Amino acid sequence: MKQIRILATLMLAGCLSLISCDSYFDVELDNQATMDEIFSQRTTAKRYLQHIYSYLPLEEEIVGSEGWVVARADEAQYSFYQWVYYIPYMTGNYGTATPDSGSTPEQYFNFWSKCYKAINQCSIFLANIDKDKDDTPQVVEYMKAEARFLRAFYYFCLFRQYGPVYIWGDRISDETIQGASIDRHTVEENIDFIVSELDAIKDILPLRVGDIESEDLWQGRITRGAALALKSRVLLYAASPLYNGCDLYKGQMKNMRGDYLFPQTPDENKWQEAADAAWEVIQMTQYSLCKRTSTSTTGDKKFKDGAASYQAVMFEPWNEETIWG
Amino acid sequence: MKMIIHKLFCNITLRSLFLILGLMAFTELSANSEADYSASPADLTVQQGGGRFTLTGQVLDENKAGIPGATVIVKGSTRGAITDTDGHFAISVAGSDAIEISYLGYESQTIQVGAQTNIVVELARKVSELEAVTVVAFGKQRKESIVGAINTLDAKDLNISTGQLSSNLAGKLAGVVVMQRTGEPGAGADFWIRGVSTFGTGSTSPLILIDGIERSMDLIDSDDIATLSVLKDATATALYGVRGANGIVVITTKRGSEMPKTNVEIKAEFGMTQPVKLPQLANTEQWLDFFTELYRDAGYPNPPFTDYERQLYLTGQDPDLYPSVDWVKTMYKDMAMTGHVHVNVTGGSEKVRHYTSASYYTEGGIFNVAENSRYNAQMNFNKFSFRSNVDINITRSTELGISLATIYTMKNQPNASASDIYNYTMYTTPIATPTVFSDGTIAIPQESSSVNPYNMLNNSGYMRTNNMVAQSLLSLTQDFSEIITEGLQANVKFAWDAQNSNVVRRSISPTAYYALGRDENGDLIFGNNGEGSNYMSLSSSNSGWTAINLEASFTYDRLFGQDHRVGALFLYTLRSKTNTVPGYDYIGAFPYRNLGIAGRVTYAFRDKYFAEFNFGYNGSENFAPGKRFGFFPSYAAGWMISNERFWEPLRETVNILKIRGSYGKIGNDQIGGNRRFAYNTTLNTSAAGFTFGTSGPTVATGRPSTGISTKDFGNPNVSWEEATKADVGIELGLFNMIKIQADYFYEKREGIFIQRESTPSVVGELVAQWVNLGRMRNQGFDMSLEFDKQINKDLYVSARGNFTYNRNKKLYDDKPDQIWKYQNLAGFAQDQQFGLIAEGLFVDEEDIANWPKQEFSDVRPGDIKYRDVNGDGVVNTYDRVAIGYTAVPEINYGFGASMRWKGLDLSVFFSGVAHTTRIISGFNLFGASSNIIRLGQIFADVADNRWTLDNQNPNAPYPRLSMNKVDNNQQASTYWQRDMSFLRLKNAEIGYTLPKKWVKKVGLSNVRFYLQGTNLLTFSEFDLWDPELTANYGNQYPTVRTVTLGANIKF
Repeated sequence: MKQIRILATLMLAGCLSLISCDSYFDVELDNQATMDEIFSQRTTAKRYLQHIYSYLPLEEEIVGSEGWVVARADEAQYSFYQWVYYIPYMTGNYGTATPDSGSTPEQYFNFWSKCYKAINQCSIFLANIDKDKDDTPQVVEYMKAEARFLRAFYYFCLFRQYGPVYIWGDRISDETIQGASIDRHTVEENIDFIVSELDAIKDILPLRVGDIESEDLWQGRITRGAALALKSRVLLYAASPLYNGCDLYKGQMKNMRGDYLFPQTPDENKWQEAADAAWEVIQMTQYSLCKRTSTSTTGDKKFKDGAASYQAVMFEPWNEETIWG
Repeated sequence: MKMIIHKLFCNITLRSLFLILGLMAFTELSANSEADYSASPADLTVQQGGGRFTLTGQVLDENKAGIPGATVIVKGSTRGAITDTDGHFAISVAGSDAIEISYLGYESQTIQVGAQTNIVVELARKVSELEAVTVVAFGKQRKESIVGAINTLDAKDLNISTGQLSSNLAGKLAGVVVMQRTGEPGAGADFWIRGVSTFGTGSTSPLILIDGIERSMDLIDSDDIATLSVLKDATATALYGVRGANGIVVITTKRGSEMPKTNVEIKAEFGMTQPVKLPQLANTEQWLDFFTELYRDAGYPNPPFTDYERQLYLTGQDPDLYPSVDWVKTMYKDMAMTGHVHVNVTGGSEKVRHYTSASYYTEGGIFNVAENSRYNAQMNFNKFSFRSNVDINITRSTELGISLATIYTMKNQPNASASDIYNYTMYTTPIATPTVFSDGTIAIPQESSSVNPYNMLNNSGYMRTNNMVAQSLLSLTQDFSEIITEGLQANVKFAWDAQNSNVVRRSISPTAYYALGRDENGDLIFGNNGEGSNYMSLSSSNSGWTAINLEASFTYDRLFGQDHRVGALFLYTLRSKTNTVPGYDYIGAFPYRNLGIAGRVTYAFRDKYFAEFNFGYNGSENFAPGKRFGFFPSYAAGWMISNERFWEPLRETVNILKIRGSYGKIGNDQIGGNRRFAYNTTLNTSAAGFTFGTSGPTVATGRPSTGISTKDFGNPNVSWEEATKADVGIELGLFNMIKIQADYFYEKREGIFIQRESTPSVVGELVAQWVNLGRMRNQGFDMSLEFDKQINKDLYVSARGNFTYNRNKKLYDDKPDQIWKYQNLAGFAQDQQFGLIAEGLFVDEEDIANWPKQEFSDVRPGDIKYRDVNGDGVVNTYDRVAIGYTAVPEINYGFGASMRWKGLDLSVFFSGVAHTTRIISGFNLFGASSNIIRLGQIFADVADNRWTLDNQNPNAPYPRLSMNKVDNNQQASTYWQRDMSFLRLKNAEIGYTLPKKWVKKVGLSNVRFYLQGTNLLTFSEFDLWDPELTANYGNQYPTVRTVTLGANIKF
């Protein structure tokens, strides 16, 4: 009798130990892909970096992607069935605000959302890459510099197409923001941001990809030349009359904070800045113009040589004239 | 507040659980093993003596039949007698004695002898617990003191012959919305309580509890059900906390009770099913005329068929080259068989009570399947169900209940996808292809990737779905009335359910041929589109889950003095459900867990004033740590006016008048969102990558082709939906014959889990965030009426009716404002239909010129005219407004009557819905725009009544059809929106019970034969196909009508 009673109470105690409170609900999610996991390993952090490269516009593709000119010009003849997906290019029904329907050509012209998604991913990468203890600090700094370049480049793409846009700066985008409370930043703010980012990274970036990684495998990553070249292009645009106090925008287009979007007075100094930036690129010794000789024996030799050199620029991958490909 | 409760919970619960179980073990082990039962029958000596005489009499039961073996005792002595087979007894008594007559299962009676020498005593059956109480959340409550909105259905009102339980509840209970969307054998119905109260991807289905455990409604055999209750408002559902927001259905299965002998019941019924309405498509002549007209309107000079060819099609002389097939009749047949056999054995004594049953249900399909010796391609459904409920009184105050059930269902169907079969049966024209060539060769139309519905049914193989469910429940109840305090009871329940399903597919795709013509001998020349094979391939898939439920509770019910009735309930519940075949998704391998405590306190003063407080404190694993638990209280009060003293004079007319109200908060943790653990950030490991260097991407070089990006951002605040419900109700009883119950309810649901759609694009998020931002409101009323009257000894009449109305409205769905505010989805009902407003058909070119430009396509006379709502001079998508209602009806009602006269009983029940619409669409209405000869079938109604150049009727129900696609006529609009309300004679039954005298001679106790029909008549304005089906052009397995003949035999 007594034994049974003791046994029963022991059984009860055993059952009860299975029941607890909050810990009943805890799940082990740690061994799967989480932010910490991804960024602390070299291979996965690299893949994240590859992903932020994937938003780059493919302007060399003339029959697709952002470079798709063939449907908009007369190099080729396309059919006019009402349901074909390239119809918008042929009928002219595309613009910077044509809704992005994902896989049809409008997305190649209306890349507002795509650039902002890319910018957000760059900022997330920058905020987290310090967790990477697998790589040497130099490599981590290099990747950070790449991400900053790409972010500046995406802002540049937006700037080219849409004019001055809203700049997040170094923050990860805040999803609670209300659309009605934000507005564009001015041209100066946009240019300043891009140039300051490029200035900050240009010394970190190597002269050649081969200085950090294998040149064969990783050619196409950002180098110092790319950063300087972009800076030169940006400053050139900033100095050009359209963005430099032209009459077209005098007294017009204010943003929410009351600033004029476009500079109201021309500034001659900007041309000097553009020239200085261009000179910095020209100073770099690893780039030179492509010079080829033609194998043909007939016709004008100089012309043929010139044509061969031009051909090399277009068709030889990673030739000496390419600063960033 | 929450922290305190949490702490208390974790500590007190464990301790109280320990206490309950400890007490139970202690009392069980220390109580007498010998049960203490009522006195054994007294000895039978009859003594003669002074002042004594012999009292004779008869003891009768409620049916006026004599009770053999009843005990008659003289109180205060050991004298007694036992009644004989006719209930007669003789006993020696004195005038001052009192005798007590008792019999197992009946209320004992004490009678003062006085001057009587012969008495006839009628004993009343012991009041079954179920009559005086209503089944509520976690237990039972006296019907009088219910202050929540609860409707109960008794087993005898369930009348089910075919189909699943869910489809048979239509119109039977106030507050229940049922729509049977397909007639497929074994298919259940869509089921809601008080309509749809949430949108987004969360669950809108109510919680179904069978014997207190969450189980599926359609698995239970309807003859095993004792009661079915629907708990609708906050008070009734608060105890379930995060699972009860959509309402709860509580089903209890039959259990044994004290009976003089074991009862055996056999119920068998067989019958036939037939489609209620098959769509009527154009016949060959109508279709040929239609096509010829299309051809002519398109401008071709010559008709598509020569007169000779037309003759060949119409006469059917050469069915191989000129087929003429009525596809609906070819694919569906008129009749199929169905049957149901149920056997149960029940009985019990004071120590043990049992109920055991076994049943088999089969329903055949109405596909017209050809003879096939290799396999069965018919769609049919079979279900075996076994159940055993045993209650054992271990001691006088301890009861152990064991309930075991196993259910096995098997559904067989053709291998081709069912929806393809329905669709192509509707699309295929009469002349497309013969079903099969006259020499047996398998037929198909000539174009590549064409189909022949006959092949999809007969030559595609078969698919079999097996489902095996095992349910077990152990329950231990200890009554502490004598040990601690009166009225205290403790209960522990443990349930273990397992389900395993598998699908086996044997597919076959034989070579199909088309006929090119005839050769010199008159034989057909065949071609084919590719070789097939006659070899049956096999594929199978599995799924399953197991669930554990543990529940421990204390209940307390006590009447203090005569005035204060106090009740309390405190319980602890734990549930864990695990998917046993999670596949590749590791998230699916985590079990679904719920943990919580709940409590209820009820107080009634003199049975006139009632107050109740419920609370639930529950948690679920789906939410972030620290945010997993929620507190859900609810309050209710009621006033039974008819129990007041001042109501006495009126009590003859109005015997019950009660008003009640409740208010509370419930949660719903099935929030949807297609992801669990929404507080965790996930990453997309197959995002776009980038190719560097000169060689292609390879993993070996450290440059795989895919990159990684963020996917869903973790939402640390993810939590349940919260529903705040208010309910006011009135209960009225008139003349002791009529009972009316009416409720008005209002519900506001907040925290609905939706994807944000108002985030500006500058945020640059890859996947829209899921947040608990949605809000919705639902309100309505439901009422029920019951009438019962025993008119005289032979005639009993009853009637019932109920009516439900609910309308919901989305308050906030985070969608940005549309350009035209009237197009916003928020502010309308969930799934409100939107479309253009049609104003008839264009009469002529002048009419078109004077009308705003319609931008969908070029219009001609005979096309639909739409209204320019926003006045901008063009008709386009911006002119779409909310039109009509939704596919879930706002109004559901049912009414029926039954009558019993001598041995004959008759009952009818109608159910109907209103305020529901559907926008129909599809090739059969618009006309196909490609492959018309093969897939351009239209309804017969369309062929006869459409607008044509010969029949230019501006009010035609169907517009101009053309060989080219007319986008203008295919827009969603009031032109294509149809009213789908209907009224059905849902159930009619006529039965005859054989007279007891004949039946007793054979040793049986009750024999009843009956003829029952379901879905016998349907009345609806819509006549193209059955309005309840979910089909936009009739492409669904038809609703079936059943007529069965059955017998119910009791031993």
